[in-house]
Amino acid sequence: MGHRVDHEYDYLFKIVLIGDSGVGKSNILSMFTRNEFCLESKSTIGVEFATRTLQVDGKTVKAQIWDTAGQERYRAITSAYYRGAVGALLVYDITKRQTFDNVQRWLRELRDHADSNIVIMMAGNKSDLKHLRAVQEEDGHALAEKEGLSFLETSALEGTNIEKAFQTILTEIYHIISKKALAAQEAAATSTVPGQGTTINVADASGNTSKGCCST
Amino acid sequence: MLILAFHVSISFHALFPLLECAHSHTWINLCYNDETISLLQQLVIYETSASELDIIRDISRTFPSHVFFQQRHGPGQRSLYNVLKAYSVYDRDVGYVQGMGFLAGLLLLYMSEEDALWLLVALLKGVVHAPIEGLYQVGLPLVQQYLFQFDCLMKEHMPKLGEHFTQEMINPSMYASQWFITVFLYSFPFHLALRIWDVFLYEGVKIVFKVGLALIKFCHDDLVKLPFEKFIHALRNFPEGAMDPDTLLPMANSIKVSRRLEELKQENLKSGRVILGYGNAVGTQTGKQDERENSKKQRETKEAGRKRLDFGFAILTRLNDLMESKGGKKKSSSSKSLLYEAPLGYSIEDLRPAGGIKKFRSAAYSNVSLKLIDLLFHWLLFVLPVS
Repeated sequence: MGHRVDHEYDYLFKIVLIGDSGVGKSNILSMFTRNEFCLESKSTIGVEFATRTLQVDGKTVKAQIWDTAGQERYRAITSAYYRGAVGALLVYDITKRQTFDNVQRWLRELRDHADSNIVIMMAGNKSDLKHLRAVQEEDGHALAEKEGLSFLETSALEGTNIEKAFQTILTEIYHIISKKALAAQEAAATSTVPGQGTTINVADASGNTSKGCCST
Repeated sequence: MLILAFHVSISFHALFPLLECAHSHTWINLCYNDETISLLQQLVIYETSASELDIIRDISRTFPSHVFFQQRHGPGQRSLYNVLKAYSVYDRDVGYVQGMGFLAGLLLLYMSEEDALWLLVALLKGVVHAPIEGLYQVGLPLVQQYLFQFDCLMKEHMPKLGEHFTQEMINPSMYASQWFITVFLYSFPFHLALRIWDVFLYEGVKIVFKVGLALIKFCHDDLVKLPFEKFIHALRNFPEGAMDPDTLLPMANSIKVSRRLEELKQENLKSGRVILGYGNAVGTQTGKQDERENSKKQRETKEAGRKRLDFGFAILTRLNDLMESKGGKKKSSSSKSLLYEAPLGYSIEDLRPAGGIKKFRSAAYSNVSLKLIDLLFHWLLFVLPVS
């Protein structure tokens, strides 16, 4: 997928959207990629896919986003999509405490199936529903800090922080990759063999070339 | 004669739509017919289901733009809740899984809640055709199997495109999961889905493979040129021409899949192929831990498959029993003896929720010839302009 490097972008980053069913993942995706919010949206069956190209630190980055079904039973299909993902947007619903409590389970899911260097951003969605709030923003911040995640409250309905959430995650990925590319160059210069760790680092593969793909 | 009638009726199905008023009767008759047993309410009112909240969450997200299901807490949504909850109580192992609502919703457009529930049970438990509850069981084993079979069939029927799929690392879980899990109800035009369902209820899941292959065949020349992203988009947005049932269904009908489907199913089971990790093709890294997990899951899948087989036999045997005891339609002695000799893993009592079902609906059509006679009768009744 996406091995072909064309001139439309400098980097291709694969991102997965995860979180409990009904937290608004599909609408976050449609808002980000098509600027649309659908009040009559269907529950996602399996996986959906969309892309958007944007500028990150002067580079053209294409975000290839996989939106996954949230129901636990579907993890048999969706967990395969974590592989090769360099970023994950973990979404919960600020009006449903349970979806926040389940964040830990989703993190475990990522630890089990995704690359260990995956950049994770947690998003407390539906921030427009202030009167129904069941998870305080501070709780979100506290958990994010404890787990070392980025965090934002978002509203797909109002478009609040959607752009920022993706921009943040893509920038972070880009910085990691740039650092690794630099490290790899230095290592090559001193004739050291890079990548001796047992973990296959997705970022390494693309970091060695100026144009690359991080989606596999 | 029988074989001829079979082919005639299948082609008939594919070529001509059922009249709107004929759906309810024909669909119910394709799956069972017996006196009504009113148990749905019992299941809904007196039993609790762990899936209740999940069901409620998805009610407004099932056919959200269909007029019958649009009204919040309206009759359509209430009926959908009742059927889904009743099913989740009836079969607690499966419970409620996203996608089931589309099946139940379609049935509710044509029949009562009670009929819709039992038709759903008949479909998932495989009273007439092979069971499809594996589409919703833990690990989604049947989804994995169907995707494997579809991938192989697609590559055999369209090798050039198959190669393109491989190059672009496109696998059917990216576009075809929904086709199987909702039998084309998720995103296909309603009139087309309806026509597919007429055939689906008659001949089983085979039609999903055939329609899927026909769709890809229809767009073959365009698809073969497309890169990954546009490809995925194209597979979600077929051209209008492909959505015409009078074009698509005859095309689907001309594709033969039965023999290969069976072979591929066996191959899938035997080869120790990673059934549950089929989506591995999406990524590139595999590890020993995955292999261990997958082989464990595969053992579980095999075990589940064996249980289903026992279960199918048990239901058929019991249904024959019921039909004969109430002086129903007579079965041929050969099939009866075969069924009675089969080891019974389950009895019909196992199907009943605690204190619930007194009697399971019998399927008068566990015999193909009876099914055909009735079907042809209905064709005569509904297709010919009889007053």
